[in-house]
Amino acid sequence: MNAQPPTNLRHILSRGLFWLLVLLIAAYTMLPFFYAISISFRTNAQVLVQARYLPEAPTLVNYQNLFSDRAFMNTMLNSAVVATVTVLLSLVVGSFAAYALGRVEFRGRMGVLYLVLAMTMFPQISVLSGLFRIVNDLGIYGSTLSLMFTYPHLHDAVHGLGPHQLLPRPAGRD
Amino acid sequence: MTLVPPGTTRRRPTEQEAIALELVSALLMFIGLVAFGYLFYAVTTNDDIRTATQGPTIPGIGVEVVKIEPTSDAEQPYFELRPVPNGPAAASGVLRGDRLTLIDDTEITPDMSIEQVRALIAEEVTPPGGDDFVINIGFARPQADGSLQPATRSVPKNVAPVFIIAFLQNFGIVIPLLLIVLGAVIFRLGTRLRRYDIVAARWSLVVLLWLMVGLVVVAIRNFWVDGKGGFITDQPFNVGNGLGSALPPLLAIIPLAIASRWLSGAVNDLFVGDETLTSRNTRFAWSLLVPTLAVLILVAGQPLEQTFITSLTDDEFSVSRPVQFVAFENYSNLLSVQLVLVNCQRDDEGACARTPNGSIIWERSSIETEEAQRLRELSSAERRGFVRFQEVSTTPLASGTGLRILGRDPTFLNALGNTIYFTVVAVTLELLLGLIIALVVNSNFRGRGLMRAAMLVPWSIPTVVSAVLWQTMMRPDQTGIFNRLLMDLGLISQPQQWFANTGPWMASIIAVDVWKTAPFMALLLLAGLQVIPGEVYEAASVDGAGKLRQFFSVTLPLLRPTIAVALIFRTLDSLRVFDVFQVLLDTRRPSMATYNYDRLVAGRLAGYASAVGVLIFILILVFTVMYVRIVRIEQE
Repeated sequence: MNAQPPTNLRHILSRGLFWLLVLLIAAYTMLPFFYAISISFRTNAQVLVQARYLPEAPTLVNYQNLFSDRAFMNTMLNSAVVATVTVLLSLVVGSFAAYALGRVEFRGRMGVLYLVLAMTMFPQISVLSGLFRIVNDLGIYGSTLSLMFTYPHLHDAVHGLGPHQLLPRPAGRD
Repeated sequence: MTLVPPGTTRRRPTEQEAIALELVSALLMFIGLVAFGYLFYAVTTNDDIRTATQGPTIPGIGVEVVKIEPTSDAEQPYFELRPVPNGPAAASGVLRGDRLTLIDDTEITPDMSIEQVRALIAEEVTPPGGDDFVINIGFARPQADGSLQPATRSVPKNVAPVFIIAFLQNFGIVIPLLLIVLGAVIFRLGTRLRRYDIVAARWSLVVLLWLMVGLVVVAIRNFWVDGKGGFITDQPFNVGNGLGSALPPLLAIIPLAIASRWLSGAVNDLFVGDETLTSRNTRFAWSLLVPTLAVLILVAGQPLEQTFITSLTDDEFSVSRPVQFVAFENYSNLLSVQLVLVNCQRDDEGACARTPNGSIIWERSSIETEEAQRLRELSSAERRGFVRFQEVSTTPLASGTGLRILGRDPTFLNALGNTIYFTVVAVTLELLLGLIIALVVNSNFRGRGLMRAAMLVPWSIPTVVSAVLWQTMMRPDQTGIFNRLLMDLGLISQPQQWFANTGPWMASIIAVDVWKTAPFMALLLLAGLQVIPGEVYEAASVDGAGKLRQFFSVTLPLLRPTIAVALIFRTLDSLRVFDVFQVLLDTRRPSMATYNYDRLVAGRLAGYASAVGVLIFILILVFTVMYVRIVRIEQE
């Protein structure tokens, strides 16, 4: 790689440090996740007594309970349905706008971009009261329909075409 | 699309064509007028607005006046107030069997007519900002021994909403504005069509197309909703009802379709004029934007504007008191800040007195004393609307004085401070960490693909779940793996209470958030790193630049726009931070978003909470505009 022949020791040292860094990053991002897997094989009582890196007597009881729970299966189904519908809706509606904003130079482009961006700036929590009112007025409170109706609004469709466009394109890209 | 060569002269329209054009133009003008007409009709027939402009139709206070004729001759007739079922403020009415004696200092005598008593409690609309919300009612309550015990009670008036609030709550800002603007634009298109203007003709085609699509959507919605008798019902689907209500919009499509068909046939034949490329592009872009803007306005714009409107009122959930327009009172209560110098309390030796755990005891400031005095002089009705200045924090300065920050809502100001501190520190750490991760996974090594997947694990876990996971890991005793690990490594000797008020709660929260979002930062930066062409590095290498020099002179400048985008994304999210604060700290130490939620759900103060939301929005806006400006200036 380098023009001059590297001193051997320096090369080994820098490779070693690099791999140490890789290892550190992997540990940092993965360990909490592994710990979550680890405690999923322990009973509630065991977890509440003493923290352990590995389960003392691995058990599948949590998974048994989870998969025999009708409510859990329902939540999975709900998530799948809501996700599918909202993604499709956002995609269909959003792709038109994304094309117009991304490819066409026109009057009012910046205005639309700022409007879209501004809408993503409202904290979702504070839109709650307004959303609740509308969902209630429509009579769809408590249904997955209300989620499909409200979810796309501050999400993918809008988020995807927000802040990038306001900035000059990165140098080196055309 | 075929271009009309500039300066083409149109051929003379035939008589039929002239009539057709007149008809199409009239249709457009009619549609424009319908928009105005609909708005006018909706406003004039709205109940809330009629009540606001003409006064309430039921008397007074959601309680009914009843004259009681006693059964025995020994007693005189008397008046009672009875709560009206579902009436406004009914809950505070005088209980049954209580005898009215006074209404706002006017004595109620048995010989008064029922109309006279009603007139006493029938109130006119209180002007905005008026504070006289209460009617004081004196009554006598019969005791067990037959005697009458005097008592008083305050009942809120049935103040009708003022016009502005009634209008805003029913129609909002965006929809009326949109109707007026679109109505005017379409009307103008109609008039311009008559001049054989080609630009107007093409715009008309776009308008007609989307109107037809809109009508189809309305028809489908009507068919579905009215067929079922509502969005969610258990009734069987009634096809007749559905078709019946889908028919009018479908019929309305017919004239539009005819007009649009004729116009598209005639547009290059009859109409004249030049059109610039920009103008064509603008029309093309706007015609693509219509569906997105419609969805945005209906689904996102409405709740947003409702939030803004509610923030100007004193609205409360599940309180039947009429909503009052309070202008910016919520905001002024949230943001009022005063700075004062305070002295510490001296102990016997003249040094500052301290509490057992070592913090200085301060004296009350003059403002706090004044406000406490004022509070004592207020009547009970006035006291409710009065929010006192309270201590937010006191910073010790030299020689026994301290700088005290006073605010009308110390919790909010603390939340504001917490959020900004959190954002600045967390986003900085995320950027550094994300940059390191991105540089590592961008370089060539075996297992890079695996590493890129591993790096995204924290980001793929939902924030709430990861917050709960960290809560388990950072439990305050030996059941927390984090404590165990640090003790095994010999870094701490005692289990730490990471999220306790006296513990390092802010650092803990930031650590949890950084773990979760640094990978996202890394992902964005990685995308930026990958578009930097390799030749640039080769050139830098030939010029003799070392690795470090290459990083600072090549990588960083070329990565700057990507960093700006990543910073905007993360700052936007951090300022709205909710999940980690809510899960890990509950409401003990709020961020702005959790305070907003707390006021809304626990406090039921819809108006006040909305004002918090709008303030978060403004803060985010300021940060974003700042970033965009900085990046632009640097680019130029």
